[in-house]
Amino acid sequence: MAFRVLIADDSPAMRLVIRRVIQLSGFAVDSFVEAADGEQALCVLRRQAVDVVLTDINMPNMNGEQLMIALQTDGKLKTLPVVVVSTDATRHRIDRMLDLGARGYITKPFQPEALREELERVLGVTHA
Amino acid sequence: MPEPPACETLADALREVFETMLFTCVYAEIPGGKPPGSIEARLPFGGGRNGEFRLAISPEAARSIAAGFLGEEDENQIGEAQIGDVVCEVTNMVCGSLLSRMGTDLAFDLQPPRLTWQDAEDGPCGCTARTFDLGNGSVTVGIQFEQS
Repeated sequence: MAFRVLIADDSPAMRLVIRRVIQLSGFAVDSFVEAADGEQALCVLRRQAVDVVLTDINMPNMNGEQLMIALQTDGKLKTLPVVVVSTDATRHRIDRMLDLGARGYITKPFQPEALREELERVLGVTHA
Repeated sequence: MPEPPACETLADALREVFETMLFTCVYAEIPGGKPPGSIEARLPFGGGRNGEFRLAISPEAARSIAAGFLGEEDENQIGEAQIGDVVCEVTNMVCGSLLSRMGTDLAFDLQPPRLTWQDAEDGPCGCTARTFDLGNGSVTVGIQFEQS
């Protein structure tokens, strides 16, 4: 099975790197969609189905925390798996995002295999 | 006001980012300030600790790092906007790594990095800045905390 992945990050460079890392890791991707902030991500998610969201926290307009709150209050989107990809490695922040419903958390910088493993864990994929 | 980070802490944060995601070695600390013509990004942060983080990188190293980060084999294909975007993202990651290493009791909020293409005035006294050799250039990092 191949997955549809939404990447929300205000840095075009980081979005490109995440795409490239996922592709090179061998993780099965059907398609990528990108958003520059939480507002764009929410807009995309309301008109297009995806299997998993990778989101940064510090973004303009609507940050990752606000995106999580918006997803949790949307009946159709509240079960969508979200993995946070952030520079913030503090316990406080990780707990906060998990409390808001994130299923996974990975800190930047990350090893390529760490991102793949987190995606597989969150999506329940068994690597052959 | 928190204690400024030790040189080893700055170096460790730099190495973590440069070696994990940029495939670039950070060598020893070298004397001198930020490299001439450097591309500098400034990142204000708040939350439990308020202040500003700065990263300045020599132009040749910035181009090389941007190419590696973006997976572009030909450095000449990298535009200035892409270099700036990568420098900002690197600044973001190093700052996050550094603040996370300085204690896990307080969360922090990172503002978007601002790029300074021309040499900016040096920061006021009290800014802890260190310069490290990258082999094909150098990088200077500094952090300053606001008085509480």
